[in-house]
Amino acid sequence: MSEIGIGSLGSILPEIILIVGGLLILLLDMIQNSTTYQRESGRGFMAVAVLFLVVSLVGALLQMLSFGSPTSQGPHVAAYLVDIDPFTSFMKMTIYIGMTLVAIAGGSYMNRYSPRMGRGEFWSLFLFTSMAMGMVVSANNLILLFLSFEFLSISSYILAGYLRNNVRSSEAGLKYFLYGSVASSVMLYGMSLLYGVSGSLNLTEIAQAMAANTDFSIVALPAVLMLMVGLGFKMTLAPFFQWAPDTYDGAPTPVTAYLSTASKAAGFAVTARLLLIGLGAFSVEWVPVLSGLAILTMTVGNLMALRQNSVKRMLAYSSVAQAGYMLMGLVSVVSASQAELSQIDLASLGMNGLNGLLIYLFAYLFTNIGAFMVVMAIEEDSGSHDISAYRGLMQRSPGLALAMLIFLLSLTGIPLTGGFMGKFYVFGAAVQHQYFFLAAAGFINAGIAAGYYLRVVAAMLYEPAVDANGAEIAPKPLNMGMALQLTLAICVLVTLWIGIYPPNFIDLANDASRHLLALRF
Amino acid sequence: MLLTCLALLAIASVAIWPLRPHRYSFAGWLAALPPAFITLWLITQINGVAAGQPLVETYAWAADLGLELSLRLDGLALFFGLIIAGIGAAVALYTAYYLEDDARQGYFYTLLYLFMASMLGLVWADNLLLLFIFWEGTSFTSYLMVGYYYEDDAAQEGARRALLVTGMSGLAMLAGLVLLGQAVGSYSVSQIIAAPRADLPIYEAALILILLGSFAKSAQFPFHFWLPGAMAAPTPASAYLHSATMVKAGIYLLARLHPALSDSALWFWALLLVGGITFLLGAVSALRYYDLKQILAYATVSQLGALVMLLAFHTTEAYIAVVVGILAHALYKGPLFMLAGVVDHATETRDVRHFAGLGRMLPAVAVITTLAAFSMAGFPPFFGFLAKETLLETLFHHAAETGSLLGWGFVGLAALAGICFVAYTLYLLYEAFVSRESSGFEPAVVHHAPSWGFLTAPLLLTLIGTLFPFVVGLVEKLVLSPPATAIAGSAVDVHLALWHGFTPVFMTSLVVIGAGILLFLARNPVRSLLESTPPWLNGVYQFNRLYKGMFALATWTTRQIQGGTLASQASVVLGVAVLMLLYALSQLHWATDLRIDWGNLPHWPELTTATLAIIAAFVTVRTETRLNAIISIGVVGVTMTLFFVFYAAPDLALTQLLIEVLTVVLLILVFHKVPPVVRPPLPQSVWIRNLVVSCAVGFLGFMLVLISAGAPYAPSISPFFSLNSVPLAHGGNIVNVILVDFRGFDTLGEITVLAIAALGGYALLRASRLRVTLHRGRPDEEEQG
Repeated sequence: MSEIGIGSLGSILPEIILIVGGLLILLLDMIQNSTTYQRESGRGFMAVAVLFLVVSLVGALLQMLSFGSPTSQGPHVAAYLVDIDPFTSFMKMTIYIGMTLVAIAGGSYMNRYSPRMGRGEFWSLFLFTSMAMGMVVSANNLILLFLSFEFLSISSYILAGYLRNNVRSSEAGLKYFLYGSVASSVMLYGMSLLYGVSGSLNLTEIAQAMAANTDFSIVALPAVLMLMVGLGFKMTLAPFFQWAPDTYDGAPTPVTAYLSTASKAAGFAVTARLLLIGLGAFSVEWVPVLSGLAILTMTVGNLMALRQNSVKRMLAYSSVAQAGYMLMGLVSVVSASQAELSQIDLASLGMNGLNGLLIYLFAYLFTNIGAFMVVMAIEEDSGSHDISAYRGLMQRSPGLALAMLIFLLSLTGIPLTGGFMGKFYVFGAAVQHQYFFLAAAGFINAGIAAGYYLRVVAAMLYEPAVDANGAEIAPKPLNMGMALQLTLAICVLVTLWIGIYPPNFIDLANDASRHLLALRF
Repeated sequence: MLLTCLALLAIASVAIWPLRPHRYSFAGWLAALPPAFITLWLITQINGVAAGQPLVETYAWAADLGLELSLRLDGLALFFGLIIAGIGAAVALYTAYYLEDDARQGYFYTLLYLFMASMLGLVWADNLLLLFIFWEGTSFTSYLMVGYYYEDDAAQEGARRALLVTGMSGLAMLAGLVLLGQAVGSYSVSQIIAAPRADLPIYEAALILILLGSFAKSAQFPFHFWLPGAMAAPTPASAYLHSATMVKAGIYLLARLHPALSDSALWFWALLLVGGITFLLGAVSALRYYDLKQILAYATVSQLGALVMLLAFHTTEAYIAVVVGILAHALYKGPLFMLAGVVDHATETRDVRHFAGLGRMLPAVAVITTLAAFSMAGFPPFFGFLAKETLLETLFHHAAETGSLLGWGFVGLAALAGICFVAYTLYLLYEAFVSRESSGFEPAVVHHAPSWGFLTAPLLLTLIGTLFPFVVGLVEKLVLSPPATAIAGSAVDVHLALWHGFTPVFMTSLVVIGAGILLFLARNPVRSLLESTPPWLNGVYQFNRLYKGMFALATWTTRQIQGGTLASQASVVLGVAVLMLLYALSQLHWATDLRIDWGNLPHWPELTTATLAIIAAFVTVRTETRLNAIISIGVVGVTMTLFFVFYAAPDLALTQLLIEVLTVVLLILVFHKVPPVVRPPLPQSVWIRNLVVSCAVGFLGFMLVLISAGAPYAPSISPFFSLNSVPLAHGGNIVNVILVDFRGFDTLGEITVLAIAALGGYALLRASRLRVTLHRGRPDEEEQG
């Protein structure tokens, strides 16, 4: 245990910045009196929020740079509660970038639709949510992990139901809350089992205690299963995903955008850390569970996405399916054949599964945020999520249509997009570690998925625009705000960048993944 | 320079769309320039490559990934490059006439160039991953080209089917390529094919995956059905993609990896059987259709089967036969498709039953078609004849060498397929150009005769194909030997001649032609026999069933899961948690893992209290009014308190009691404000489900406690406190000491939290006067004030 002192506060610097930002916005909100409420546009709060997000992003970047060159195993801060290592930094960067993008692009939407009173609340909650995600990916201790997990969940419940005079948004929030509380409580059972047998809350110490006494292995399986209920809820794994479509559909689109990306990324990071570090010795127990969940998740998600007419809902189900592919990466960290289990040569593994997961998460973040931002633009224009609203988009706004095309291609996993790189690494790891059944299920699902993504492509490129009654109308141009255009441009560029020239980025992911795998017990 | 060629096409594809080429009559000639330029450049490279000096270009890309932009122009790559660029130029010229006055012509050209670049990249790539990227590029661009007529449902369906089949198998192939690359330690094609790789541990898995991708792309049985469906594409695309280039990609990959992978029985039998079946199946199927393009599509399937079959062998004859077969096929099938397009354009139908005496109306078309079709039928002295000769030669050789019945069986199979080739060629020519009556259908009329420009492209290709056999001695060293060498992995010398004397092969050819003519004469009974085959034998039928089945499954899943009540969804989560626990329990060794003293049963106070708790819980569920439910749930809590009393923990009991009371008060406060709701009674099925789920969750809790109690835990922390509370904290009551001393900060935190929660509660209660109106729909109206 390291000493607690002011010096170690640097390890949670980005989170502190976010807390300060959130509290500042709350204070600013409070000092307004009832007359200024009427004039409040929310832009000021948004500016403050974005500013603090960017500053914390810089903080996370500084942390990352402090590790020195990617190959050196430099001085990583491993405090008793948080672990600041390349893995954490990678996840923090991913999450903060995602949240910043959502804030920039979705801000005006939120400001327009949210109730006039309490716009500041949205932004402070938004910052707190970001902070919770940053904490949860660095937490190395069950208590901190659970607390920040709950913090994240609770603030997300509120954000999902933020449009409180809209029934669908309220439904989204309530459903999310009811599910989340059940799932969290089951997860807490699992954590208490772990604590009970090992006598420690620290993941590394748990791993040591579990390894020291093989009798404990009887607790490992129940504990993993119950942890997976709560974690699976956050990662939208089947069968714990049922809140996701309703919540994604009903929640304000910017909230959906981060729930389906940053929040999910946080869930995966926690799962990776818990399973690999805390329960790494029991991979024989959790690998079958995870592979089963992966296959179930991608199949159910894809099948349900196939029948959706609302693009937002389709993306919601597709994001469930994508979680299944990502989980494949986590499974593939462990080799299928027992002989290799004990001797994994970290240096030789180009595809260790975990780096696949990280690449996938990162690429998916930009792709999916971009896709949801397009959904948001269409929604603001026509008020509909239906696929018919996308018809003739190529004539109405070629830029938007091409951006959406790239996002959809990336989600499908077409080469030269970021989505392909993610799939390539995840599937490659599965094949390399001889999970052929898993890879086969993935391939079939990726094929099915192409069907529904391409439906949107066909509607955008080929079909003429129609009005609400289905009658053909002349295409009318679609206007977008500057902020949205900027975000879309960033998302497109990053999606293509990862797809076309990934070496630098892959180095980062490799470094992050190798660090966590080296810690593996 | 290779990269420059690809870049040239990429630039051309971007540039041509905005130019709106359909406005200019010379657009076709202009559009043919980039591929023609590449063809010419490739021709200048022939000498060097034939001398065994491949052109290699490598650019760094993602080294960590094993991906590098390395292109290599060896014999095989050059050979395919010539076909792709050469026929590409012809197709580019042809397109302008076929799609004249079509405002989306520019879009088609964009796709065409992109496809051409992908295809050239595919055959030039010296890196497996790069090859795959281009492979997917051809799949995707061909999807867009087949679906060009977007109003046409058949085109959309055909495009989707083609993409699903080739795309999914492409992913499988990627898996195979990754396995292969990882096992070899390099993704470089030239390194992989430098040695036989059949002894690699992953050989079988990798080979099966790669074959899957190649077979699907090259329309081999049982994936062959996508190709006829893709005929809904504009004819230039069919001529280019579905005869000359894209469907050969699978053949190319097999030929490319032949030196590395072919040295096994698995390779031999897989290729021989799949290729053989496809060969015969395609040839027989072609007899049955009336649509010009359908006939040609099945003929293509058949020809591809023959090529795959040939690649199974390791003989010089086979290598020569493959190379000749590819070139001959490209040079006759491309023009035939184009001519079918010309006829379609002129008469607006492709159904041969509608044609009556078309030969008189379109004499030029008839002549060129006949030249190309005779090559397809394998009549001497056309190029197709050479291809058939080399094919039979290979099979004869193999049969004679092994002497097995199966070997002769394959000779018979090839002869049978050859007979069909002759028959449908004659049938096609006769029905289209010669027959005078339109067999009961409305005769087709020529709306506008094709211009010479329209005919230039097929004419040129047909001429090259027709003349080739006569000059083969001059060019075989330069054109045919290098690709054959590349397939073999060692030097192969090609010697071809039209006349070998009266060899058995030649005699067989003559018999095949004669039998083919007989089959042509007996075409009507044969066709009615074919038409009587049940529909489920058709690949499209099976695919559609699979496809519809998937949609039905999707609908069913969606109905089951989406939009259920919250209770049903929650029961899924809880049910799964219980199932997982059951699985965990099944892994348990009860005797050794759980150390529970079964003799130590609870006494009557515990039993009484437990019974009380159960009764109270039962009342909670069954009671009619909310107040009763709240009170009885309070009773459950109080019984819990009693347990603490029994086990001598008065402070815990007190805390528990306080919390229970507080909960009851809070619940009453909350429900006091909620108006009463009268719900209809639950349906019995729901009631039973709720009961089962509740009991299961109860069981879950019970088992968890049991496991917690029985598991061999780490040492308890209680002794620490009992030993240290007096010396360290000077307190006799351990619990108090823990609260205010050992964990004093925790208590401070808890108090703070409670204070904050109280503040929050106060704020909530105050806010109750805030009226919130809800309305359904999109959130466009704002709350006023």
